[in-house]
Amino acid sequence: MNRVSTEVKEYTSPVDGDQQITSTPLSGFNRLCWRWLKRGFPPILFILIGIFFFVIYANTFRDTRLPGWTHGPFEFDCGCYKNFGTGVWTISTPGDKITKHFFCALLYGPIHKGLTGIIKGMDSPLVCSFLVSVGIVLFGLWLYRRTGRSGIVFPILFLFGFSFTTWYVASVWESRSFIVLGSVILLVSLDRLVRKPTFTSVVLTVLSTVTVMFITIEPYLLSLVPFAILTRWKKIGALKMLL
Amino acid sequence: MFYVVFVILIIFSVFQLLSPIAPWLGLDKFIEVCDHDSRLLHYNIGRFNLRNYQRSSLVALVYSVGGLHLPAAGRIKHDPNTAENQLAPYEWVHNEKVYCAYFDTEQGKLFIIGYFTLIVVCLGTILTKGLWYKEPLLVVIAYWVFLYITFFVYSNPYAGPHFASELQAPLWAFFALVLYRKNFKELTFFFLCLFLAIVSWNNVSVMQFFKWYYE
Repeated sequence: MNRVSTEVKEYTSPVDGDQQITSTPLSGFNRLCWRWLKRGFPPILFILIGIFFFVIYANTFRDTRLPGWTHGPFEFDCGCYKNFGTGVWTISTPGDKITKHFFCALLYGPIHKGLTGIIKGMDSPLVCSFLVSVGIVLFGLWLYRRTGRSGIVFPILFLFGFSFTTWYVASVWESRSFIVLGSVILLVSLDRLVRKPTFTSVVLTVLSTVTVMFITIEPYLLSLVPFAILTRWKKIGALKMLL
Repeated sequence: MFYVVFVILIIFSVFQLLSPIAPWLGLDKFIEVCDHDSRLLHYNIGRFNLRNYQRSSLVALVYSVGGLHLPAAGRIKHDPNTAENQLAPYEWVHNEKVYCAYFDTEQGKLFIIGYFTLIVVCLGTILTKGLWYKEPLLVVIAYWVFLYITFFVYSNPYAGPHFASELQAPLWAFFALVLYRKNFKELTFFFLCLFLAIVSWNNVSVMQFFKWYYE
């Protein structure tokens, strides 16, 4: 049994520069609760952070009249993503957005329907807020494990959520909110590929690349996987890598 | 090579399968869309110059994180004929001097100083701890950022900052993977919290500006 998981460490104030640690053994139900809290609390915290950002994004431009088309940061792509979400447009509708952002055309409708069914009376682009919030939760969970449960994940996660473009694309109808989620998925799979360059990792990374390509056709992303494998050439072996 | 062919094959197979119900997913339409985009945006290798790289890098690395809190003169032009405020035609990435206006406001100054410190600290940690070979994901992320910048230099160096949303996760992962290895953890945590306050303050004011502008 893991010693750390069965004990509660009570930290007392340092005496003469030394930190006194007294341990209280736990048993039965308390042990189970402690273990659940230790393992389950951070994921719950990340989900709560995700919900917090969902509320922020969904309410940023609530009751604000948004124009159909403007330039630069105020670009709304003629409301086509709103049309996908509200079901005005489907994948049968002619338009280049379906080719370039296939998953947006396919999934914005069902997600919007589901979200507006739960949260009634809101006209915000809930799909975009939801997708970025899911991305934030995934990013937090991955980074927390990746950094050995380091506390700096929390300010980093809030920085990610409050970064301008994330906030902006999550508050308006855009394909970029799905791209944020796609980039998180790609990042996680690339990390796995770099750390464990196995056949399963390669397959998972290829699938995540395909997912990202369905979200947005960006051909330069294709070179990420070969480059990631290239960084591990010593571990994999040059000959195996070529094959 | 097999990998590229495999990915392209999956994408086109799915598109081709769905083309009877979605005509715009057919291969002919796909080529048409690519051709239209390249003609519309004038893809050109002549764009590969230092100025365009600087512009796209600023969009990717600065505006994406810190927003665009620029003073009114930087992005709003007062039209004396209509007595209305309009967006300046050369704001954003069109005018690379606009970012200098960050220094005109308190949060702008703090943001630039904070972001500069963050970059210097991260680069210093990478060099002193030899993270470029200990943490290969950092190299992959750096390559991803370079790819993004290069693609937008080639295709559209004037692309709005919202395009940089793709880099948000890799950029913050990069900073986190470097900073968690630093020795002064409490100091790093405090600095990040301070920077978070500046960035959120900066971007709250940007969103307030947007609301005011639309109404």
